[in-house]
Amino acid sequence: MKNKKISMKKFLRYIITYLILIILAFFFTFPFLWTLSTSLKGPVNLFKWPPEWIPKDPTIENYIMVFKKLPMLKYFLNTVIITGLGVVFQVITSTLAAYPLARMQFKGRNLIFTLILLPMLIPMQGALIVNFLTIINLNLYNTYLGVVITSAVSIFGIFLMRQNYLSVPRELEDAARIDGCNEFQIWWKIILPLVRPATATLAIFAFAAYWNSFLWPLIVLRDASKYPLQVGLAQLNSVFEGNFRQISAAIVIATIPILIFFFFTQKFFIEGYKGAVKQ
Amino acid sequence: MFLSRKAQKYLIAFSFLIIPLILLGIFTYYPIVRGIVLSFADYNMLRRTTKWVGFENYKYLFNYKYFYIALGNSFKYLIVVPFIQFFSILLAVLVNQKIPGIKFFRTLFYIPVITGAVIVSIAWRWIYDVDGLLNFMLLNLGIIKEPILWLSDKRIALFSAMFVTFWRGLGYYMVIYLAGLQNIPSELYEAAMIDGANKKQIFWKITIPLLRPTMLLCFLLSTLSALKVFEEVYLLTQGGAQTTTLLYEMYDLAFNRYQFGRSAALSVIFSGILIVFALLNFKFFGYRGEKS
Repeated sequence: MKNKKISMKKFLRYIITYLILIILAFFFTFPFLWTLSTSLKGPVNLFKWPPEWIPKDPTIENYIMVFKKLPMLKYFLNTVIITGLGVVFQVITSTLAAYPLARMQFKGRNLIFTLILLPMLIPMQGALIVNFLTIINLNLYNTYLGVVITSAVSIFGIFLMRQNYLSVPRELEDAARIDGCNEFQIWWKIILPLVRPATATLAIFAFAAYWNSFLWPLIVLRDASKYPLQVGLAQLNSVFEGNFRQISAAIVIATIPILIFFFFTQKFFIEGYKGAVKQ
Repeated sequence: MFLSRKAQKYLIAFSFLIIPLILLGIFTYYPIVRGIVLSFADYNMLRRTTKWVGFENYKYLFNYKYFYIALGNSFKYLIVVPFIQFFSILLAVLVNQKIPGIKFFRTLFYIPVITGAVIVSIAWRWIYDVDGLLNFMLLNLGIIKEPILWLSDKRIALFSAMFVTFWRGLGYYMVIYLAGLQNIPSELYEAAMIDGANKKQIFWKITIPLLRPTMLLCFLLSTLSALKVFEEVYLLTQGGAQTTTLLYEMYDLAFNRYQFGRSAALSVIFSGILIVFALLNFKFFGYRGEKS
């Protein structure tokens, strides 16, 4: 009798938990669901009561119009180039800089580490103006390199890689040293392969940041033909003159790649923060 | 080799560090210094001339109406911080349970974070529109009689933007808290259970104290990003309906009105405010939880 009562209670708790989870899931996704639904609707009866979440006569006409009016493929390719460059830069600079900070003894090491972390407390948006002038002086205005080079070093990335380098046992390194490896070989052949999960995490964080970056590319790029997706999409309202069905279709097209990417890489996001907040 | 062992070590260490440090120097440290210098000058981008004006830029700002509106709004935006933190801790505890399908829900809660500000803002503009989903629902349910101008009414627009920030930030902090929760060694929970502690006691005596370093990090991050809010304002209202913030004003001065000196001066004032807030955060939460 008592057992039954407990399992009943447990069952009820399960139901309530899932109910809360489903309500929350709707809370976090309804703007996207509404956008998806709108993008499939025809010109008649955009609004009905009760709201029509699943359109009765779905149409792909809005999507065809988006591809006609906007160079979506071009935007997509631009985004891929910018994101790819950015990820490569951040992974190289972080894995390099963090190594001596974690695994070599030399005077001034902690000072350099503090200096690297310091800008986290300063609003780097203030740097926008000066960096904009620097980019012009370096003849990088209106180039992809100009978009990524200012953020080629990720402070978070250096911090993350340092924490992970610290966790590799000393003995492995000593054994390699006895076998006659120099410092670069130890880094490249022994340590770096052991922190591959952290490197993957860093790459994924960088990917998401560059893919969604918006303000800096908007400032640095002049030609609309070089715009990445986010910047291109921000101009939507003027292109489509407030036609929300077509705007919605454009949003759906832009969202799908990042959702697919996130679906396959999500475990790295939590692992990454675990690596960063562990002591 | 003629170099001493010590010098060799330096050489090796700096060959790892040199490229990242040069890049940081050009695009991080130099702008900080140059920005301060620029705030005392009138810089003309076309002619590339610099005219020294002393404190004129600062004086201008202190007599500038929108500076005060922006300042007020950036501070008002801090209202978001406690809400985001409270609910993201709750969310993290909720999704830290080991029940079937929980990973799927985590993914769904993170979608607003991963999709980026532009897409999120366009979707919300569609909801907040005069003929948008929100007004339509409220009108039909009989809650309001007239459509509400969510993004153009001076009294409401800032709060509409804040809600988007809240909605967009929850998943981000949830994941950081989740990582913090999963870093707490399970032996501690087991020991407490053996000692006969109940769930409430475990939560308040073990989970919360051990989550302190994560809480410090998250409060710091969300305080700074509330003060630094830009994307929501830029994308939802373009600074209209008195929703301008310090960062939006800074952007507007430099890139719409080409008043780089004034914008740099605002940036210096803004940096001061942010540093004060960062220090307050450290003081309030203390270094106690921070071990490294």
